[in-house]
Amino acid sequence: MWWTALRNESVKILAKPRSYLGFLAITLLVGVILLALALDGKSYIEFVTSSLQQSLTVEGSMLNGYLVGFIVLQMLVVHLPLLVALVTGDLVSGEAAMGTLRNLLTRPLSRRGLLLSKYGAAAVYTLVLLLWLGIMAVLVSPWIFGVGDLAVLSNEGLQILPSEEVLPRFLQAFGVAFAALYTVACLSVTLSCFADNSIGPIVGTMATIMVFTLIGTLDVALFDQVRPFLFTTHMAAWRSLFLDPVPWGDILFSMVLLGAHWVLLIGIGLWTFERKDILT
Amino acid sequence: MFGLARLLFFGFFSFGFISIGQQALAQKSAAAASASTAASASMDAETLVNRLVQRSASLRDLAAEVQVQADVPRVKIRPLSATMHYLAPDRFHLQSPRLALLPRQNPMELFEFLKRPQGYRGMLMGEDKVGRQSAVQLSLLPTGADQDWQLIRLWVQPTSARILQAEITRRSTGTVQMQYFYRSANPPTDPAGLDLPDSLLFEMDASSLKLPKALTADLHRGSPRDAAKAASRPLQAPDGKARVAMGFRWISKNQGAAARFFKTQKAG
Repeated sequence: MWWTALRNESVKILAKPRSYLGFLAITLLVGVILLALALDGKSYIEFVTSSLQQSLTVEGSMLNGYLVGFIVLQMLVVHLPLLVALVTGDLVSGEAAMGTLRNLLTRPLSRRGLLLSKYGAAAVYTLVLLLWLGIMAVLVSPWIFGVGDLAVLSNEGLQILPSEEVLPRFLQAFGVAFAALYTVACLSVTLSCFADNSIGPIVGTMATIMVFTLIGTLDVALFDQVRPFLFTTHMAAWRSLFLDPVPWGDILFSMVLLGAHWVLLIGIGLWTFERKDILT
Repeated sequence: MFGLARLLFFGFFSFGFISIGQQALAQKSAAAASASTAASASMDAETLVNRLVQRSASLRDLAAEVQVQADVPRVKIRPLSATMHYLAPDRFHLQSPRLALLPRQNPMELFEFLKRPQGYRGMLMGEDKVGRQSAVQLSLLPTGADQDWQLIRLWVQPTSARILQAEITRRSTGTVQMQYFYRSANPPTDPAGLDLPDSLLFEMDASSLKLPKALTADLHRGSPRDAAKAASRPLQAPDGKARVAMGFRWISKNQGAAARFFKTQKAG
């Protein structure tokens, strides 16, 4: 029964034109980034390595498909929450606004089952969107620019990873990025349980991300205790997978914290939805 | 300073295809040291320069398997194996699928430079030690005023005219120190025979090395806690020096391998 509901919810997402906005946006943005780097990537690399090149030379091409893929991922993961919330924030409130929620609940599926199928559909959408970004970043970029060692800038400096290690790290990074984005999806579906129109949950999700990000970046001692527990602090945890050695402890903490957010948000959503007075 | 450099260098190459520590030790016999001291006393700069020129003159075409390890502040890069081609006077190529950090000058540049004695004049600066080996210090000064390089200091084994250490100061790139390590204790008996090092250690100042902050900033992990964690991790090359160690296994010396390689490259 639940799997049928999940399939139905996924089909409903597929049927909405707004679901394709994310794919279109990713394609366009990646296209722009690839074009920019193809035309002016060398000066970008020179900017990064100008100080290094005063006393040393870099043999081999730093500008390769893996670096471009990393840049694409870094730029777009910031924007993906909006694209995710745009669809997932509509899952419950959209039905309420259209008046189909009450009809939906006449089926022999519990409210809990129905809402869980919506959370499941949100996971499927997030995964597919991320997969599309992955295809663009890790398949199209290397196809255009070729492959090679990945040079990554972090707080600790420049790290050069051998090319044979890069793909497995990308795969793991997508796993961590999925955990972060699914937290956004859970937040928007949960907010969607409180609203009868789609705008509120979408704007609410983005506002939450903005406030949390602001708290995370403000260098104020007051927030030091709170900061590690905000999901936005762990949105870029995937980047740690490109450090050498990988700080697995930090990544595990991020994954546990994001998982705890899923449980909390889904719990709040279920509690609210089961008590919701559905009039439309 | 060089003690730390040697320690790093030996540490790296002890697992490699050459055992430089043993080779260097092999060159340190007391007899050789006393002989070299006696020889240096009766040697003038011109004679030593002539012997260096004679040794370098036949250098034309080299190919080698090379192991490279770079130890640069704020840069983490793993050691790599590659193939090196050198064609006199200045064509150098490192063939590797990996990214490599190398000194700006090619490893054979000094030998090439020594081939043209009209461009410099030498002065003996007395005796010195490189590790436990006796050496004479030879300073080379440019004869023209428009040269980029300002001073070259060489530490040379007086009996064999073998270069043990060098220091090149340039206007553009500052000072680079090089240490030369040889597998065989004795250089070729033929005074015109090539005496190439089996390993080289470059050392240069990198305290001014900066990476762009705009790109290193991390939107979601830019908290003071993260900054403190990053600061507590040991940096590469903590003394602010960049070091590049190169170990060579010579494939071809003056047998045309590099010429063939560069011809193919041009055709390709």
